[in-house]
Amino acid sequence: MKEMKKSFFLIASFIFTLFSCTEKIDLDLDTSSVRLVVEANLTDQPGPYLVRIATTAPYYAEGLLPVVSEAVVTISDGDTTVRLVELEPGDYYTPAGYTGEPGKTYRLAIRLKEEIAGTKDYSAVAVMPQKAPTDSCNVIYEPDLFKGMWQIRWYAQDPSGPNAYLFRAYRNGQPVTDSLRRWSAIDDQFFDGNYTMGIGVLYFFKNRRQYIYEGDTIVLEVCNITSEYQKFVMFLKDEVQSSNPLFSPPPANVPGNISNGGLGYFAAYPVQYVQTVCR
Amino acid sequence: MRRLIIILLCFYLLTDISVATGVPVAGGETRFKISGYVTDKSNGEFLTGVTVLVEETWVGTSTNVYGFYSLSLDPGDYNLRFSYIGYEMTEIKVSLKADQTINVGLNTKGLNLSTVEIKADRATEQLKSPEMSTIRMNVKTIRQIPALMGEVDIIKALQLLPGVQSASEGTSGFSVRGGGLDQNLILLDEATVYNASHFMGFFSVFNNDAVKDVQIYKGDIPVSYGGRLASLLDVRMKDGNNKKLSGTGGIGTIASRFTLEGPLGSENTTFIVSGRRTYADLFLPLSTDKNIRNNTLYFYDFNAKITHKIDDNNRIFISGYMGRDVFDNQYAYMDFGNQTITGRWNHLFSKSLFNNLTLIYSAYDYAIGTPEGEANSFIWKSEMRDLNLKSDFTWFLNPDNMLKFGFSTVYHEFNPGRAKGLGEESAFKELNMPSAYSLESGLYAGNEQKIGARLALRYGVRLSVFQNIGPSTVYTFDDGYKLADSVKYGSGDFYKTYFRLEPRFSATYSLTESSSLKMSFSRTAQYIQLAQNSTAGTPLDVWFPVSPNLEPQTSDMVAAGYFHNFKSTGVEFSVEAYYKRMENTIDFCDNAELIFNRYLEGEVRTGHSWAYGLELLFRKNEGRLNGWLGYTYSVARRKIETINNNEPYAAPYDKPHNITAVVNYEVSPRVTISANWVYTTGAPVTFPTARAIYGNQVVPVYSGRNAYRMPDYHRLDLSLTLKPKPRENRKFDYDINFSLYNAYGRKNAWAINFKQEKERPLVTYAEMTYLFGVVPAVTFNFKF
Repeated sequence: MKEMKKSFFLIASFIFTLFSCTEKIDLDLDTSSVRLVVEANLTDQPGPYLVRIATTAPYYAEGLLPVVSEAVVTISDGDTTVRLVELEPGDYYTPAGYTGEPGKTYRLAIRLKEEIAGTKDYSAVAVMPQKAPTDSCNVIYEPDLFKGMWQIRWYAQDPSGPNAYLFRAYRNGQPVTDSLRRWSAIDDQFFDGNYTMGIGVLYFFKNRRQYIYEGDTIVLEVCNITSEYQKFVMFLKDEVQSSNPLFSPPPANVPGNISNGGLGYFAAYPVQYVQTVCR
Repeated sequence: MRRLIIILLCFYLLTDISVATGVPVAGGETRFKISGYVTDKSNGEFLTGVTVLVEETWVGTSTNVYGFYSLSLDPGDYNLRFSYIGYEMTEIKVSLKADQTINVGLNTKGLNLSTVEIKADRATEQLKSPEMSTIRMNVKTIRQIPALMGEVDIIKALQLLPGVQSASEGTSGFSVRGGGLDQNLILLDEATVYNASHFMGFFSVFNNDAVKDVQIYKGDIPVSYGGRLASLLDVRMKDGNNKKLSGTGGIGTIASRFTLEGPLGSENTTFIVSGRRTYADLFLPLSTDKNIRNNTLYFYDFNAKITHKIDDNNRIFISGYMGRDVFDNQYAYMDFGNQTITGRWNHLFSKSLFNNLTLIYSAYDYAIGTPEGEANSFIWKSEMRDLNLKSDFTWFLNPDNMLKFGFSTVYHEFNPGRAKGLGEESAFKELNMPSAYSLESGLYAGNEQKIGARLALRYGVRLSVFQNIGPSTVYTFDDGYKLADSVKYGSGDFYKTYFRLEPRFSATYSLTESSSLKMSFSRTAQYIQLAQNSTAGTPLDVWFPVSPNLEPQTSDMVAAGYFHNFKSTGVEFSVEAYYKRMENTIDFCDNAELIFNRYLEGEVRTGHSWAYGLELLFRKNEGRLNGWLGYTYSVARRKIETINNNEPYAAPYDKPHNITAVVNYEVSPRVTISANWVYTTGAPVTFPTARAIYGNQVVPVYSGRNAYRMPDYHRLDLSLTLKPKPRENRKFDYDINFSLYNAYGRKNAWAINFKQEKERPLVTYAEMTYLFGVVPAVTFNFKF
């Protein structure tokens, strides 16, 4: 599905680049009321895990979001509950030794010192999916596509039944998919139960200076995520990509799993890494 | 279904027999019929809407879309006057003692245009006919309007009329009186055209050279048509020259076209074939950019028609259209297009009972994919097909009553998507979206009635029926729009039937010889719609029918207007106000997935919507200086559950102020200059009101839907047409047209995006994309 949409975008954007131009403009925007923003991830890798709590800011505000300090933040798996420690303002960490496990259900609870959007209490529930097998990856350079493009291909046996995956990558130990825009989140609607045969999952473009050199070690991070989180990431990516009258639906907020109208997501997923040396 | 067909057949046969056997007609006195066809004398084309006036009694009628007219009069001597825009008025003396057939050929107006007299007859007919909210445009007018890249375009011309809005810069999508793009019934020789655009909408599928006549109904849709809420665009193809073989063509900046028409054997059989193809892709290899060089990118259209006159009472027409857009390069492939075939049989049961029996096939399909040989290789296809049978009767009862009745039934088949991996290397499996089958029928009757000299009425009712047919799996959803259950229906099951009664009424009251008041009420129902939530739409959008989950949309519109003709100057003035209320209006939830989603109905939200407006039009059809000036004030709102927190919001095509000016001036018989200027309020749009950060990315946060507006839109287009010295009997005629689209280079925002600065990603800014600067074009047109 994503693949198909993408090819259509490629065609259409080709046609429009023949005609279109862009220009920076001044545009006044109203400010809406403040909402809570939560970014929280829990994996099966050694912690500590970070829960970042902040509030929304005016759209043109430069810099990071206003942080929310002195909140009481806990994560519970039904049996044990841990309280997170605020090491930096707004950044809450799990205690040492705390590790997530696939199949468990986690509940994040946040109690604020002061009300935001009319409430002090926010919570979210996340189920950590089971690990699905992942074999390997490789990198292919396509000199003719988009003036030079590297493709990371992924080999795995997809278990039958709905599965969703999130991919990120590291080049010589440095993250190269450093923001949501460059993550890849897909579901298996079109290859459910099949061997993936090396489908392309991440792309790097020469003309955007996203170089990969011979001898580089590329690590592909494969996360087994829930389909709700996959949709969240996919829709959020749509919101931060360029829109146009042809294919863009009306812009909309992407609902996450934070209660009481909080923005953001509490995600739990097992992580695997496969690596390759670029030749 | 079988029952329905039997009922319809009985209806058909009964009316057939009763009328053909000559059931006595209104009153005791003996009246005789004058009937016949009106054609263009030079090429035999049937003329639609020719005014036929009896001078002695000042009663009249006009020809239907097949050029046929019929009048019943007391015995006596009469002068019949035939008049039509762009043609010389023709008078015929008749001594009426029995039924009579009078076929008339009209001469086109001479070369000496400066002496053209403005004849009031046609204009009077326009004032008096109980029909409003409709505009007929002839192809000559459309041809004069400056066009994008010189490609004359019917839909772009219509977008310059009051009440018709362009969906977005450069697109063929249009909105009528606040309606959606899928609420327009677009017909080419009676066949529905499901996607009227080429090349992402920059051009429409109609090749002007093959088209005779265009009429748009912005409301007050005739009772013989149904299935769409907002408008009817009726495009009629030429029948073909029955006098001599002749050709028309053009060589343009991006496309060339050629039309050949003529008699086949005798005057009674004619043909026309017309083709058009773009050749922009032929220049792509010249590009220095390898990515551009390796592209295939073109579209073509092909129209053909054969008309045969069996005898005075029987004519048949067979016409077809096919067009395709093709795009191909090393990483993606796409093609899409429409195909239509229409077969029609005009039959006169008597001098006063005209019937047209039509059989139509119409299809739209697309395919998109990537080249073979990769794990990601796939092909995805979607198609829809219609088979339509309809029969339309016109009974010219007497000069005061013209009855219309008939039926139509359409079998729809939708195959929204079939995807599969391509080649052995592909990881993708086959995935098919379930097909949908349905039957859409309509039964109608109406009358056009004149009461005295001043009042004319048109009234009628259409009963429309829509039936979903199995096999099908219908999903049910709970209050939170989550999948709850599914029900399976077997093949041939009529598992849901909807009936809607659509009354339509309009009245005209002539105040003076040059002014009239009109009003109308019309209800329309719509059973199939587009799964589309972008403003301009794409060729990939699929149509889907109503179902047990989704009720048909309906629209009630009232309109009133004042019409005035300034006889001294030949200017027609009209002002119309309308209010329309629509029920079961659909929209899609936030972040809806519209393609490849078998639970599509779970993404639909319904509610109601309303629109109102005022349209002013000054129009001058003839003379050296002609054109029009239009102004529209309009409002369109929707209130749809869950969207915009259940609060009303502006419909996507709500653009309150709209001004259009179209001017053609014949400087000399050899030189014509044309200009049009458009101004509209910016379209509604949703902008962020706050930011969040997630995944190291600034993410926009929105408050209300469509709470902002794009910058206002305006544009001037110019063209200059040069012709050779006028000469009688010129064998080869030609003209050269130079055009400038967006002549003063206005940067009209096509999209506005919010971006992060590259070096300082936490700093965001707004950026607008505009499509066209000044676009010059040259077109050479010829005719022989």
